[in-house]
Amino acid sequence: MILQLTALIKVFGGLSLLAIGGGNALIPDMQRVVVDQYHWLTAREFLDLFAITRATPGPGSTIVLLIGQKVAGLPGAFIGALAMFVPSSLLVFILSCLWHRTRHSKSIKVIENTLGPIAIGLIFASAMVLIEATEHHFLAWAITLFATVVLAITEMNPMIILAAGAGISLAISLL
Amino acid sequence: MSDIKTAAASTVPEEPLVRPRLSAIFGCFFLIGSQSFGGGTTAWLRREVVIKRGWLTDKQFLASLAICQITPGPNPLNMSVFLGSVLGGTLGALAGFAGMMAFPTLLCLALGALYFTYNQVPGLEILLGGVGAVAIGMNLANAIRLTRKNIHKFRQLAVIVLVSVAVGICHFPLLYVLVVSVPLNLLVEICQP
Repeated sequence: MILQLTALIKVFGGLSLLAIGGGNALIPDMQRVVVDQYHWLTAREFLDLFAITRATPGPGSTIVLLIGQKVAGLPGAFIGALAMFVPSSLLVFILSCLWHRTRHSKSIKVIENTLGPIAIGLIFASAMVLIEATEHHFLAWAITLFATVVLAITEMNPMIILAAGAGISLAISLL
Repeated sequence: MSDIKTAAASTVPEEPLVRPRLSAIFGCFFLIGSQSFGGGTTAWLRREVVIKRGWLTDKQFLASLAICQITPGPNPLNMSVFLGSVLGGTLGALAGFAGMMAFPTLLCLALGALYFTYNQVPGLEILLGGVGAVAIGMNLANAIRLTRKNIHKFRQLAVIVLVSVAVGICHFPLLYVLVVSVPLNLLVEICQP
């Protein structure tokens, strides 16, 4: 048990600070280590767990919870998640303190103006990458387009459209 | 509504507009963590933090988002720590982290237990199909709104297009794109404010 927990810390702690561009960038690396190197999961299980965490809300890399759960039960889940999330969160926290300290300087406006368009560009990029990764078929394109238009021009609660999206998928799967 | 807040904030763009209580920070990120089915977290973050609560301006939100995108780690979690810290110091960061992780952790573990027992989770495909497609639309709509409200110069629009094409279509590694785009855009902003 202790051995497995230390292995989880080693694997996910090592990956934590490499996850630039969000957790999904890590998935191929994680799969290699977890499936091929440590044999904690089969390739099929890895894909299934990845699908589960994509369907749940919140950060995508919660797959580490499930890998930890498979390896060492609940303690494994928590230790794995902490090893994955604490190092990167600490780095963000340090950056936020620096940010807070520079908030009165004149350069903050320049920095905000510099980073703003880049951040927006990355949101567009993530949508494009997801469309490609999920192999959007005609219906998915239609749903995405509909959601984009409605949410861009109305103040409707997105939850309603999410529910509608689930409803449409359910209807199609029943037909 | 948010336009008025942005206008009022333009006099002091550096400070958060309010100092929310710890429980409010936890509650806000708990809500985001439990609503963002299928992805779309950036859109939920902006909706809850900027639009509904008015804690930050769009500009502050975007700068924070860029920093969190550059830093390793999942963006939603980075944002909860970063914004939690900006809004409520060290304890705020902890409240943000805990709030963002609470519901997804419980749900994942429950579904994981189901999966490890029965080798499948019923209804998963349904959630993944339609909900995922909506979540992508949410992010697109959010990006369109942010562009419309905050981008007033052609060269800023050009940066958006270049970055999104480089990462989204050409699949250049994010790190390279940032190493090129951040200093170049900074140079342009300094020379031609």
